[in-house]
Amino acid sequence: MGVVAKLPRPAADPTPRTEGDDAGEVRLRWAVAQHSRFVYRTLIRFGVRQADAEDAAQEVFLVLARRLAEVPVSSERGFLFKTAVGVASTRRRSEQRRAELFDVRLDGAAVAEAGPEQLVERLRLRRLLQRALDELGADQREVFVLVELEGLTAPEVSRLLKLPLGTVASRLGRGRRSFLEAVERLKIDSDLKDFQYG
Amino acid sequence: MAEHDPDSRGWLRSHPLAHELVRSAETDVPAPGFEERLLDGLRSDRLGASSAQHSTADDSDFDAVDAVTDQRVQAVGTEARAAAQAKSPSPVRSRSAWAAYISAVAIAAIAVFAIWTIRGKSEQRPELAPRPIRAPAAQTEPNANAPCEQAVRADPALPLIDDFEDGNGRLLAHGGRFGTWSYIAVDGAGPALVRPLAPEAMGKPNNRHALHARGAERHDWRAVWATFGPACYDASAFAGIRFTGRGPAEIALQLDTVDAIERKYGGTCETDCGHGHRMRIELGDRWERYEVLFRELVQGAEVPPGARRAFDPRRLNALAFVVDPGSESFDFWIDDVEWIAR
Repeated sequence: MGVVAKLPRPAADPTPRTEGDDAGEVRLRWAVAQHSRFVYRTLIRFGVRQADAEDAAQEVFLVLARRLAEVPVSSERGFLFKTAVGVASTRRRSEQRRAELFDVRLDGAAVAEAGPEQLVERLRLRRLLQRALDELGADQREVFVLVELEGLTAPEVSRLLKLPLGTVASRLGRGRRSFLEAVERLKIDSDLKDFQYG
Repeated sequence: MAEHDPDSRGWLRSHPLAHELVRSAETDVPAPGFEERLLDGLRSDRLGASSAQHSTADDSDFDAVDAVTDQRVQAVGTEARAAAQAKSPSPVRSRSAWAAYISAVAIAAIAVFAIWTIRGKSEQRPELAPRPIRAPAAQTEPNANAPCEQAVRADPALPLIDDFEDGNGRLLAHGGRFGTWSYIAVDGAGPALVRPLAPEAMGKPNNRHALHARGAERHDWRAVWATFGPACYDASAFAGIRFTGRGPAEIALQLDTVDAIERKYGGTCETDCGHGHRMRIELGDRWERYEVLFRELVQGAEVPPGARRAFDPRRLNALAFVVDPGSESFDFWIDDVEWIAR
């Protein structure tokens, strides 16, 4: 850990930064360039609808902008991840049940061969998997998303979340088991519902 | 699968179902210009602006119309089930099918009339064929206020709504009208929306694309749907709508006016909302031309007579080809959708 991390953390600065805060501006631009897509995906993985993910990402980066002085250099990604998880949690609580959208424009891979009904099926499967993800405990879910969906290694997650490697490994193992159990359970529930419905 | 090996990052990919989650993670990407909009928002925040300005003017126009579709989708499942339980008149058939159909119906009608006369009883006469739709006895006058103060008037010289030859999922934009084709599916699991619904290739040099939808028998409610932008579209220069279609499928052509849409979704309706005007149509397995006049459109039988509204083509909000619950499997194509001249 560098010198910056050892310095006492300054209190939150409630005053807006001035135009002359060039270093902050550069750092924010860098953070947006490096991490905005990661934040966008994280928000969706933690339950924000794709249609709302851009607004939610804006919220996340506003938090970073306002608390930039508190965030050690090179810790932006971890800060953004934790903030995105929090924003997603708040939004999920306040959001009503709304239609799921398969936005073909944003999913170019879907367009080529699939008919609309196949896209609906894929959308439903995604929703089921997303629900399975929702059933994971918060700690397991963070590690699971970062490894399985973001492709980070366990040591990378360990550094990002500031957790011992053993903790990451055990959360990942439990997360995988819980996820599979949830998928099987939800799939059975879904089949039963379809059966009753049909 | 190495559940305990933290280095096995491909674990999820090997699962037959969960693989879709990996796939979605790879394709969940923001719209172009995302980073610029984020930075604009951060700058606005520093300058004390209340919120970031998103999207270009054109995009935000589409966003607004798409939002209306999203919101409306919430209500259609309930409407659909009610509509299915109270079926509207017999379906419209293609012109070629009509001749045979009407002949058969005429013979049946004569036979039924003869039996009825001989018996001398006042039995209820069965519905024999689609009848001209009479205006419902009790009409609720449409609310004449917004959003139709800003209505776009259809140009009588431009009847085409969309021939899909541009290959995209947007309505043919002209005269201030725009919109996006969507596919809506409502089942027990909730509503799902695919947008835009891109036309499918036909492989013919003079007719390259058409909309295509097909599904299994076990479905609830499906629709190929387009919400007009702006929210109120005046097609009163025309007498009806025609399209080319191929089945087999039993569908309903549905036109929604702003008066069927709740205020919170941008319409003017206060109570008993969401019932579009429609006509059932039986698509044959050959390409045929189908025509529906505005005066033939009627709200479903689930709407009590006292609550029915007259169809007002000056106040259009959406156009849809609907497959109702209880229908058999469907496989239909839609092409060359246009208004019928007066």
